[in-house]
Formats: sequence, C-alpha cells, structure tokens
Amino acid sequence: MLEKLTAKQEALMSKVAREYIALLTKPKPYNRKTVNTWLDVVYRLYDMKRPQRVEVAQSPVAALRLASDLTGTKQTQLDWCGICDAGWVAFYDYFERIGVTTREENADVRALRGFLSMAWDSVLLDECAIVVARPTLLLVDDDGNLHSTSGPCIEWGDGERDFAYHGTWIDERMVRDPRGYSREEYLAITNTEQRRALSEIAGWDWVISLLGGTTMDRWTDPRTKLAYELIQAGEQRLLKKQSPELANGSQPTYIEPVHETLRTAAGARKWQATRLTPEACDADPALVYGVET
Amino acid sequence: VKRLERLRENVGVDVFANAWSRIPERANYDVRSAVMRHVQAVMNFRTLLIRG
Repeated sequence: MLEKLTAKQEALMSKVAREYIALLTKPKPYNRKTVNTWLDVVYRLYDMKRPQRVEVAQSPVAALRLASDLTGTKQTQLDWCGICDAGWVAFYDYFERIGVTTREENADVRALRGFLSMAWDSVLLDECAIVVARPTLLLVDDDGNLHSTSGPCIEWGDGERDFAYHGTWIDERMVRDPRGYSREEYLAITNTEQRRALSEIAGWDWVISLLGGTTMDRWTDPRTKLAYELIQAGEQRLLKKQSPELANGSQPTYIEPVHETLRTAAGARKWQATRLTPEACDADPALVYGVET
Repeated sequence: VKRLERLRENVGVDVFANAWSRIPERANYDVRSAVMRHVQAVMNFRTLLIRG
C-alpha cells in the first residue's frame, strides 16, 4: 500500500496535469488506427465487435444529426467519453507511471488516452461508430476557460461555432457588436454572468451611459472591503457590486436589478440576500448570514 | 430501414470502473486525494465543455 508520495512523485503530478491540459488545445493528428484501438476496447466492454462502419463527424451537431437519422430518434447527447474525460484518464495514467498499476492493467485507459488526444467524443451505435473530430479552432484564457473577444472561441470543421467570454457562453452579437445593444436589450439579459460579460466587453462606462444611470449611493463593506453602488436608471434601480476575490485573483463586477424603492447601496445588498422589505433593509442594512429570516 | 441503437451514454464509466478496482488497495486515501487535487484543472474540461 502506497502511503506517501516522494518529492519526485509529487512533481510528476503537475507534469501529468500539464500534459493533459495541453491536449485540449494541441491535439494530435487524427489517426484511424489509434481511434480503432479505443473502439475495439469500448465495444468489447459490451460484448460486441467494432462495427465496420466508422463515421467521422466534423462537429457534435453533425454527429447528433447523423445519430438521429440512424436511430430514428432525436439524439441530443454525445457519449460524454473523450476529451471531457481527460481528468480521469490523467488520474489513472499517473498511477501507472508511478507503478501502482501495471501497463497491462491500464491498457483500456491508455486506449482512451489515445482516442481523446485526437478526437473529441463519440456517439456509439451498435452498427455504426460516430467519432466527433476535434474542432479546427479552440481558444482559452490564462485560466483554461473558453474565451475570445475577437471571434468564436470554438469552431468546427463544418462551420459550427460558439462564443464564450472567460468560460461564460455568450451570443455572437456580444463579440461582434457589443455596443449595438439598446437599453431594453441590455436589461433583458437575465443571466448575470452574460450581462457581466457584455459589460466588460463593451466597457462599464458605456453601460452606465446606455442606462442613463446616475449614482444614488455608494457603500463599501468595512468587513469585506467590497464596493457597492446603487444606480437610478429611469424608473429602475440597479445594484453594481464587486465580487469577492476569485481563485484567479480577479474581482469581477456585476450589475443587477433591485427593488425600485431602495435608497441605499447597503440596503440593496441586504435586500438581494434576504426576504425582508426594501424599507427594512434600508433601515437596518447590516447583513449577518444565518440570522436574518 | 433498420434502426440502430446506442450502446450507452458515458461509456467511460465502465472503463474507469475496471481501472478503479485496483487503486484503493494499492494507494491510500491521502495519496489518491493528492493526485485528484492535481488533476482538478484537467477535470475542469468536463464543465468547461458543457454548452448551456
């Protein structure tokens, strides 16, 4: 029983993680033999043989369309077995590398490693294996989240594409024409992460200008040092608030609608976190989690 | 027209079940959790790639 890792083994953990992270953005060229090795493994798990028909789809959408045609049933999910399993494969790969498992014992996982290093995922049918090819473009930020502010963050061989801002999926329009949003369109974005993304892409000054907002009150929580700003925008009131520090050190800002009778930023912060009335929150804005009802 | 059938979704679960069967008796909890922490960044692929 291995009870403690050596310094060398500890160093290897980070190395293995880096290798697998690199596979996301730097796939190996597609190799039919490597893919077939994995397909042999997975079909054998179900006492079947790899089907003669192996189709390579250029995107998840294309794979699901083909699978729907072949099954006669609308297919909406991939197998969830491919690049998304890189974490588990890295886990087992590491134990093989330090000798906890043998090469023979780990053969199936190694076959999956070969597959995910050059393919995305699959939709496996009894008489047809549909393999999803890697995207032709995949861009991530420094934290490894899908991200691009100049175009799609991910693009597939058949032209399918998606857009993301630091890991938050966004509409293409937020990248192509962020300042083209009207006040009504901006306020209609109910996903606070998407609203934050647009605000950061277009600029917070633009947002305040778009909303015709004026600051009613500012407040900094003396305990957390987080800043809050209550904004009057027409008949609407909005709370601009700073996030606590995230794991990557950033402190993103959010802007969310609050009750139109709130008068203070501190009260608005409490109103969002409790079920108390706006009047009660303004009168006593101190917020203690676990006490208020 | 013959309708084909899916094997199952998340087929990797079966591969990993086999791989996992040998680990607990050969590496203790502290070692396993240390390795798990280090591959968390890789694990993030799974949430990263889910299109909402």
